[in-house]
Amino acid sequence: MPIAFEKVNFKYAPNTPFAYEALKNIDLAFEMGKVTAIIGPTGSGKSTLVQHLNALLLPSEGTVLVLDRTITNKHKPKELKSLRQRVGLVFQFPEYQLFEETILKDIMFGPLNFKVPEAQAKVLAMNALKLVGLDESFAEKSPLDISGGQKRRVAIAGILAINPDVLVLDEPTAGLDPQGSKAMMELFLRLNKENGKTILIVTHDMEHVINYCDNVVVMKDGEVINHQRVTDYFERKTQVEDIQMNLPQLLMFKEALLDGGFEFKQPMRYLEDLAEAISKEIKR
Amino acid sequence: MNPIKVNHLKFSYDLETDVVNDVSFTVEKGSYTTLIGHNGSGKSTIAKLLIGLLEKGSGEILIDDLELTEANLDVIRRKIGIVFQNPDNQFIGATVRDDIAFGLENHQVDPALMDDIINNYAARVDMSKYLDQEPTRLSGGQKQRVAIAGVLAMKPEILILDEATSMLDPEGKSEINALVNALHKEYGMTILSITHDIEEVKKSDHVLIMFDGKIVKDGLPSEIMIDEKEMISLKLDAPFSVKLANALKRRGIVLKETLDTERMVAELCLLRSKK
Repeated sequence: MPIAFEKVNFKYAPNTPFAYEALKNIDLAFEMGKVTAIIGPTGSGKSTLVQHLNALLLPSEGTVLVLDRTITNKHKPKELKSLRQRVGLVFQFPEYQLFEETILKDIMFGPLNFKVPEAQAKVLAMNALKLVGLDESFAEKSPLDISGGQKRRVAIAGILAINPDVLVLDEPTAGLDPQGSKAMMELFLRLNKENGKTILIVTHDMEHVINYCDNVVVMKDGEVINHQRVTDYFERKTQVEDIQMNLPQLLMFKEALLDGGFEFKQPMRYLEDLAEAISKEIKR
Repeated sequence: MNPIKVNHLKFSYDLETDVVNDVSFTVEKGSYTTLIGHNGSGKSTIAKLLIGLLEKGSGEILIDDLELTEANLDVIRRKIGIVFQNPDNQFIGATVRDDIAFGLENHQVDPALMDDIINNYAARVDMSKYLDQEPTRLSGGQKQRVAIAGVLAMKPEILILDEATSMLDPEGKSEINALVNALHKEYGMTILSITHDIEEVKKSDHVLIMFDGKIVKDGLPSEIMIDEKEMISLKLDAPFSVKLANALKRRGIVLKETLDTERMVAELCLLRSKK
């Protein structure tokens, strides 16, 4: 079952002087069971795009296909509630939305909202807590008494507890320390590899794109200008420079070495690939 | 005279665990010092103690040799400006102009002089065009630039950045980094930057590393950042260049330079041409 956009336009504040076309003629099909990065400059439409996936926004024109649902302008969000159980959307800085007295209650809120019985909701919540790397002792703590990075995990656990098939994350690692950020990306990768979840990540961090994602969707001015495998995308540095993103460190190094006379032929993605290629050429 | 000197500083939120546990360090005049550490290591608490937003448990904080006490808090706050992480949490004024004016009014600046001062600092952060706009309509990078203008208008000698770019997109980040570098180089301002950005740490004059409430490393980035194992054990990450140098070392290629990218590339190219 697909997640696809067919000729989708989206206008904020239509028929007013402030009307603004945030998505223009989007045709896009995400590959299921993969990790896809959505990148592009601020204001390019990334967040608007992902808010269509669980019908927080309805397309002004065109059709969005999400699993077995067809979303058009005519659907009422009420009819789409079951969709939100299957497509979990995590906003930017989700820790600002924690509100219950205890962490356990906060994580249980989602399942209870979808009419899961209390005992079962508790089991789901405890599992989700473990999944994000927090032990049982956190369950009865107040979400106000833990660090920023831990709050972020709790917020993500709240979505995992409803066990969605598709996880959509809007800049999930912003503001986390390097290891917290790495642990978070490894969690998403594990959810993908072990639980078969389709993961869509809006990010500005090109290191995460090259290290953890299978595919990349590039947006600019409300349009999708590129959709490729990550390995293919980084083969041409001009594609990255065109959208004013930083090249991943690995590619900056590679380019500098090419300029200095190295002759790499093979594609490379990870640090070890580069080290191997350098070593081959120096020892040759 | 040191802009910031901290001796045996302790602080606890709950009277049980010391979030800041016997911390001593010095920030030198005109230096660009970075303070790094895992989430919850106590970095932001230090920033709040330095500007008197939190009251220390014990120990001593000296700003320009003047001890931070209730009595001279006002004098000290004129010497230090701070920009926080979240650009949305530091606006008071209805327009950018009002927001910069707010700090000036607090410091009883002559209203006749205020317009000139505001125009001057708005120009310095390249926000002159936006003076009559609502702060809520600005991008994250623009908001942080306004926050910096408001701080600069107080003419502080020391600027503390508490993860000021961590909520910004790459464009916003480079805007702020460029502005802070100019303030450091052109005006000799002392900078203390709390950050997770390893590339920023590489370029700084001095780095302090916090771990569980203590300062565990204090020195030159070129000496501290090159130890990959140590960085990982402190719940941080080593720079890409250091990790690559170690991967090459495992393959029998030992480099003199392991931190500076340009020098490393030059060394590798030389090795290649020599063979």
